[in-house]
Amino acid sequence: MTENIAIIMIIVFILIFGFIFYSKVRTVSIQGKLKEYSELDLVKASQIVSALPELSCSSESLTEVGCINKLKLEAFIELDLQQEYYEYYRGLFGKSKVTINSTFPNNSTNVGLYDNPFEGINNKDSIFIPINIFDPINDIFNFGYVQITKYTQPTS
Amino acid sequence: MKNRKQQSKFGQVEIMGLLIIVILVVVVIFLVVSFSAKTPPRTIHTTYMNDQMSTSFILALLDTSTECGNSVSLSEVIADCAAFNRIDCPGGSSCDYLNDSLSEIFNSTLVNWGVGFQFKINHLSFNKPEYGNFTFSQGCGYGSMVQRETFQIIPLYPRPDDIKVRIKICGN
Repeated sequence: MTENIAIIMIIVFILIFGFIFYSKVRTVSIQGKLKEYSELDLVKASQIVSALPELSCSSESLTEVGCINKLKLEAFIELDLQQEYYEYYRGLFGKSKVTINSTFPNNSTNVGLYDNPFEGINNKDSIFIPINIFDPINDIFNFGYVQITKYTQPTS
Repeated sequence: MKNRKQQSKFGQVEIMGLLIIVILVVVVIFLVVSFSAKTPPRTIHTTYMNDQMSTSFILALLDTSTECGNSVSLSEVIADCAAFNRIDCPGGSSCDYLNDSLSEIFNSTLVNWGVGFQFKINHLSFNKPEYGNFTFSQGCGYGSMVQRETFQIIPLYPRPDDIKVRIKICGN
């Protein structure tokens, strides 16, 4: 009788231990998946930004890859994305931040296009895309980059 | 009576044996899962960024305007430094300007972002120790893995030779 009780207790203990262990492993795996989806979102946002027709340089109706027109950029900033077109761009970029910086020869361009963080503490992952920022008035190509930062909420 | 006591003792030993086997199986499963959980997750955005970086970087770099001559591009300054020495640049020759500009660009971008890279201009005339042979590098030594390599060719027409500008993006 005592032996049977001992065996049942051991089996119950193993089952409980196994269940706790499995749930922990599942939690880690789900967190990994969340991170992966967030990274895919970041890659998607970077592809959208680098091919935005609202910003890209064009000559004779042909779009140039990796180039942003400074005049289009200035007009785009005046739109104030947090107001008028917020819903449209929120659908494109989600919880992220997009900034454009020039570094050489002129480092005067340093603008934020879009910023939509979570409330409270945010985790951040960034991606950088080197580009040219074309100034059509002075006919100058500045070297710069687009920085896309993806916000995620910290997991407990 | 003695026989019954002996049978009970055998039963206890068998249970102990089973218990040890079960404990061993649990420990092995625990170790396997722990090791697989400790494997670092794939960082998709880093891999993507490094893949795109070399091509985007070199294309943007060579088209960049400079303060030399009539705002000539950096690729024209490279060609001038290699062969012609005709363009006037602020602060000295086209080679001086090129060395300073490249250093400034790399420091404000790849070095600042912590991306491993090696940038090299391949042409006989760029073997200039006073300019560090026009090689710029960070974290791209013998132990590192080259993730992506891209090059662009700058022709020196009417001369028959050309310049190869190469960038490697390295990871750990």
